[in-house]
Amino acid sequence: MDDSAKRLLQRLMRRIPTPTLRSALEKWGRLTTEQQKSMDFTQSKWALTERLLGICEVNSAIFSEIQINVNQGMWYAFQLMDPEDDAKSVDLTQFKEQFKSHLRELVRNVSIKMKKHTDEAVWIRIAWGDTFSRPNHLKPTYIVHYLQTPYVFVTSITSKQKPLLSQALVLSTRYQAIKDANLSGRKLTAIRDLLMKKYQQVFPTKYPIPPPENNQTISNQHIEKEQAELAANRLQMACEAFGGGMLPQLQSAVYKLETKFRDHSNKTMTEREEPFRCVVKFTSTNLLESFRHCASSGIASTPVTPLLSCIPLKGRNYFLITDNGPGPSSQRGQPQV
Amino acid sequence: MTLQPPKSNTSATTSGCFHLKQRNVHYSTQHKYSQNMEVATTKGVLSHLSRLEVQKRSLKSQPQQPGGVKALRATVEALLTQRDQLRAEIQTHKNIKKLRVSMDKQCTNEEEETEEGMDEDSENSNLLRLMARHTQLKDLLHAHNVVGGYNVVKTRQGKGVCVSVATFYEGVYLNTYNLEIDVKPTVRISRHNVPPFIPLNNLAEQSNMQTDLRTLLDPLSQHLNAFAGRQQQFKFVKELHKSVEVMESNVLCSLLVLKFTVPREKTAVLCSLDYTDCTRSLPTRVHFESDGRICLVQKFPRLYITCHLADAFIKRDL
Repeated sequence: MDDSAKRLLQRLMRRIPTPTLRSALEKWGRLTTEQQKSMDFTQSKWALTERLLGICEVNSAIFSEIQINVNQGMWYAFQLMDPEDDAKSVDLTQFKEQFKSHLRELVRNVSIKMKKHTDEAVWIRIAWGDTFSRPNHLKPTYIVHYLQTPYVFVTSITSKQKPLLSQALVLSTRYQAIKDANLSGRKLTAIRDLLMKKYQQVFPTKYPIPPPENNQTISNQHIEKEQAELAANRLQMACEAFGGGMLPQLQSAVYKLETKFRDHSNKTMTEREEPFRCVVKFTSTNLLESFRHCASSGIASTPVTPLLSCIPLKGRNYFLITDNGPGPSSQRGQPQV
Repeated sequence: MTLQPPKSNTSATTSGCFHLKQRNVHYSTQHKYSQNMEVATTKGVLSHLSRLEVQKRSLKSQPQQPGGVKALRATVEALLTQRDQLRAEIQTHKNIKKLRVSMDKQCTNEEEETEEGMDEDSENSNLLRLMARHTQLKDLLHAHNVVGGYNVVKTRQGKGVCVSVATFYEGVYLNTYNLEIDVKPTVRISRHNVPPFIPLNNLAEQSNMQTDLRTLLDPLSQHLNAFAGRQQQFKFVKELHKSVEVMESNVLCSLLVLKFTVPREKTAVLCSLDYTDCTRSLPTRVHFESDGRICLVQKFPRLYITCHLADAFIKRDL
């Protein structure tokens, strides 16, 4: 391990708060169980760092993933557009070579590390530098891409770096363009599962899904009898809109509205020329689960409004909604981008 | 003195032509008689008598006329029976239609088993019921052919359908993929759980789905089943042959590079499988490399291209 790497590891260790150190190292997963056990967490951080350096010398590990656990950054999804004919035969070696060569053409002094994980995901770690400075390993950009799919997931990238990365990605994957997929979240697995359709979806079939088993005693048999069918319908519609089982954990959904102010008693506002702008933001620890529960319990009316159901349908959580045209627009206008 | 033809006769003759053809003979004689009567008055009685004689002889030389009566009678009989047959068929069809309506209702409400009370005798009603069931099954078969054997469920009060495409490999059912399709106003896919590496949008654009949904569903099923087959083969190779090392793979399972050692020579061989045709679960190209050289073992490529991956590995070991 060279000196710069050692210094980097030391700085990283200093950044991790002591209480979370053990779990951070566990999540990193680069230490074997014996090595993990051999770390005495009652020691001072400096001693632990030295111990870790020693272990890493032995392992010569790439410590790309440790950064993910240190700062809970936001992941953003991008979509590649218009594949060329040979896009589906791009193999890993070709992708690696092409990406590195294209990015190095655009940026001097950039450190690129690429690794393939067992779930076919290609992880790319880029430390950006420029003509005058060396690559900054403390603020790297991470990119995750699955070959032969059009999606790319990126975290920790500045607006200046984005076009450079976009060009390198487009050229190396043999597509023609890349655009913002308007989906972001703290958990990579969540946005990945949403776009790759890896979660359980519910479709209308001949047999409705069974209602969840609730252990609570039924308070009133008559209410239960009347409401059972309605509750089952609501549950079916809620699951069709959002999914069944465990849902990908999104944290927020943002709707930017550009509409006209409508209140006849307030002339000043209605006579304004510019559109009336407002932002509606939903936040939750598990947004889709909350929406599904709203629909199944009756808080939100069913059938679920397309404004909410298009989050999993289109795989995005940022919407710009404009009026459909002149005249009164419907309360639940179709999202138009 | 002029012999006036009897008035009743003339009226009979003129009206006689609208009667059935049996009266034909009678009409013609009547007509000729009246004509002859007029002629007789102009040309003389003897010439008239000779004419009558000729007429009688000519009448004798038409023997088919009485036979014609029989043939015509037979035609009438045949037409009458045909009419009765058609009437009976119409009645049967009406009864079957009634039965079908009640049968189709029975199929949707499976709890109710109402018996349609038929007033006819039991044998007749059983036969009718059988015939109705036959038409019902024929319709079902036709509908099944139209949708290509895929499971289809009506949604949104008939404005949409949900199609299920099943995948299987070697007799084992694997994942089922669903597509929710709007039928009105245009045919359009609204929701699906097909993974993004299957080119669904391309297939939809290239298909003729407005008129024939199968032009989309059949190629899609091909792609999905081929993918499921490749995925299963890959899984089997990894599970059954622990000595095989996976050097490269992708989510579509279309580019695989495996490393294994030839048992006798103990040399490492790199095997690259290229599945360029995504509608097939057999590779289009197999490439072997050992110590940087391309293997001269000729029999291996054929083995890999004709039979499936896991089987090929078993055969290689033998």
